[in-house]
Amino acid sequence: MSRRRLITRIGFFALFTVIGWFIFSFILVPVVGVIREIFFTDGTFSVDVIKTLLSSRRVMSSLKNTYIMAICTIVLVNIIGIFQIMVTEYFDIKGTKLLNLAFMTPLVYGGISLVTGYNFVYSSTGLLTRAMVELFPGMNPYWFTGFSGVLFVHAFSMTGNHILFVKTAFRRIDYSTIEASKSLGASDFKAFTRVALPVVMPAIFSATILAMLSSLNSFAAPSVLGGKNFYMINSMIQNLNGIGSRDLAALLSFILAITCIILLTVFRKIEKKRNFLSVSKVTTRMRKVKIKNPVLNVIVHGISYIMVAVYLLPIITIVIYSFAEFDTIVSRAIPTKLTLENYIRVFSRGITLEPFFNSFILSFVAVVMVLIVCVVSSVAIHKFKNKAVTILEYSLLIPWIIPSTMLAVGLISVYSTPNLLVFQQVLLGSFILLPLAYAVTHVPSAMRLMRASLYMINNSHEEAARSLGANPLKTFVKVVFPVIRPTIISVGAITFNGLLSEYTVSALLYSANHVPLGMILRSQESLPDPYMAANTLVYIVVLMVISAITLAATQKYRNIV
Amino acid sequence: MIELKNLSIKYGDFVAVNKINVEIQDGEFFTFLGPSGCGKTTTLRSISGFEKPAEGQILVEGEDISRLLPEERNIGFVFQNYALFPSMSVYENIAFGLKIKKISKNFVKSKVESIAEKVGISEHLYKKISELSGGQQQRIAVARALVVEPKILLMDEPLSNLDAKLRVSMREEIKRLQSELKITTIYVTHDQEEALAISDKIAVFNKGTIEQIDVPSVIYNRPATPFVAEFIGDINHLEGMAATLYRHNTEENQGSQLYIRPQKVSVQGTPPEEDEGIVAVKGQIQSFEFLGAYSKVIISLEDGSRMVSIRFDTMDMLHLRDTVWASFRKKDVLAFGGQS
Repeated sequence: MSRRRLITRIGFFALFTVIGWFIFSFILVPVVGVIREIFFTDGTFSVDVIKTLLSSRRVMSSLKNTYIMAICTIVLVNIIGIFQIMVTEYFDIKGTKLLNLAFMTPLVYGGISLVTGYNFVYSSTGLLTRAMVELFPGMNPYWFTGFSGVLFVHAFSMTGNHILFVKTAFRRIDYSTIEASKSLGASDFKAFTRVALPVVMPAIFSATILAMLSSLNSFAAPSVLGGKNFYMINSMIQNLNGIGSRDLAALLSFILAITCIILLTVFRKIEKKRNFLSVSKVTTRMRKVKIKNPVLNVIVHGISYIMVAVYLLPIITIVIYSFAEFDTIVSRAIPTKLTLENYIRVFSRGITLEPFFNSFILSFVAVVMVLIVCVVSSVAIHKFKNKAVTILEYSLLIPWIIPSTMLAVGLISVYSTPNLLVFQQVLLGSFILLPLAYAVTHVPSAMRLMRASLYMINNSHEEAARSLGANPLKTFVKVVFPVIRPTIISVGAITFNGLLSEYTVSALLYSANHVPLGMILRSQESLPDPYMAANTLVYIVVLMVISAITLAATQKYRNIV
Repeated sequence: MIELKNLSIKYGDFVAVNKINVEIQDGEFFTFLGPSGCGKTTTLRSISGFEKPAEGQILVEGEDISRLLPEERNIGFVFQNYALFPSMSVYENIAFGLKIKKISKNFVKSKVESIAEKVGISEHLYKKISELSGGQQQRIAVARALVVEPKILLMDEPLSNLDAKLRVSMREEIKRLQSELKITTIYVTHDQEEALAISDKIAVFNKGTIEQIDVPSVIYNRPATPFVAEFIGDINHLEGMAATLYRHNTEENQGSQLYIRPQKVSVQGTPPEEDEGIVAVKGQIQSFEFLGAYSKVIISLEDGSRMVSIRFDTMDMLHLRDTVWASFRKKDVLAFGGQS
């Protein structure tokens, strides 16, 4: 073996050792830590915690709420999502651009900032609810608190996957199949439900799985809107963790994980059975159809515009109020004067800028970790087929089926005391634990995107480079990397964007010295300080702008390349 | 000289290539010909180092290269899909192999320009790969493989993505370039016409083994096996004619397989004069196929089988469903497994 080959091999070995350590210490050990926390609290096996769970009415109700919420969510998300596809892609509706814009807002505006924004408009003190109560005095002003509020947020914010997956699948439908069904006597609506919809069913299933998982793992919405009596599993885990019942918190996270695994398995099986591929040699592009019944046309237009209002109202209100004077913000009066004062205050003071700075640093460190792990692992998985690589692949997918709260609880359990795996350090309360957790929870989604882009690489490109004298490392740098570079940048940007206002993991693992933005948004929601309320609006607007720029830039960059 | 000695390639239990032996002389244009899945591309890839032989040797100038990495073999490879790097310009694609060898910029430039001129793509050097046609991409793939001056050039169905007319002109250019550079070339194709037209020698592959290695004219005129006879060019299988053709109607002769090329079959409206050296069978014209330079007459014989004749002259005298006699000389019959 030549010296060069030996050095390359040692380099690869060192890199994979580090990745192996990362997976073992921050994915596998925390999962085992959760199980140990549940059944071996005092070093001996015990199932007492299950008895405690069954006897706690509040905890049991959080479980029930979570499951009912998940079912209601997927029903509503599908109704709303499919309606959105219908009115933007199938039926000819006036103002499609506006509709598209509104329906895409969950892609740039989510998590704690979306909940905070919706709360600003729809809560009992919100602009819209107050206007509605004035119009209908009998209306419950607290409708946006508890189950109904959380369901409302879920139903409208979790349609993003329909826009991403179902819309793309719908555009690939061969329009000649619709024409064929019409020639056989089907109405426009029947052609949609009988021909178009079954073709996009796999995409609907994927979107449904993701909506279901998002609902089961929902944290921001029940935390902010749940009130005193409505808890879901994650908000209950945070509560239990706060009062020191770590064993019960661990058990709840374990139940959530088992639920997710069972659901994913069932959905996957169903999904496999329902796959339709176009058999056309030449496909015809989809064309829009006009709704011939005038009454139905007006109703569909009306519902579409109401949905637009639901999506855009919170955003428009937040943007306008972020420029309002703070007493106007508190009273929710119509702003008479717009000012940059709130923005100047946030960006000129260290204390108000700090959460942004913290989240930037935490997210950046996490993104670097995600990219190193994902690029190295996905290339290894793509290139080699052996047991070690299979273990690597499955280990990195664990965080996809394990709720992030369970991983956070596991990390707390393992690293709240000195641990040999991290050179006898206590990670809980340190800066690095949060980026590590961010990285672990975001690795699976990043891996999926990376692997998809590697599939686009033609193996013969690598072989061509090798036949021209390039060694594996040079082949990667000169041939593979330029092709996957746009995906690496996109994955980095999307992950960074998603982490800026992360709340679920942050709530359990943040350190007091580096409080991230998500925690600030949440705490300002519960403290009616006028300055804080104004700052929150500025934070949300800036987050939306960053998200929009990130998504647009990555899209444009990918198109250019 | 390249020698493949008892070369076998396996995927688990599946034997893709089974103990083949090939000798290729320096400067030869050698073709691996065979149907899909016969092992020809697998063999080519093992020469380039992309497949590991399960057993056997690959010798180049007497040195066993089967354990060397692809980048250590100095063997050029032209891929079926060209495998041009989409992130690089035409120039960068061609210069890639030279840059890897850390050759000076000026030398790289002169080499790239020189090869570009040879393959006729000089005016496209600074274009993106996506801006070029299939034929131009194919030339770049060839230029990229040749610019590093490999000892051997391997080509894996390089013309299969081109239209019929371009295929013919490109294969002529490949042959011209190969003769000019005198580079030992191994060419893989499933197109027998292409193989016959371009090769100095052909190895006919079937199910992981080689049925015959020889020059094109021998492969066509004296196929070694029924597979080669059926695979190369059109042929009529003379089923049940052993009795007519053999003097001694032995059991072994009955079991032999007999073939006649369509161009050796004559068709006429009257029975031919009796001649011991000629066999004539009666039938009816089933259909005509006009193929430009020549035509095919498909005759339905009395025993229910079919016979095809190729005619280069006019067919004014023949009509559909006419009763005709198809005749051929016994010495033109290709026989396998019998004793004439």
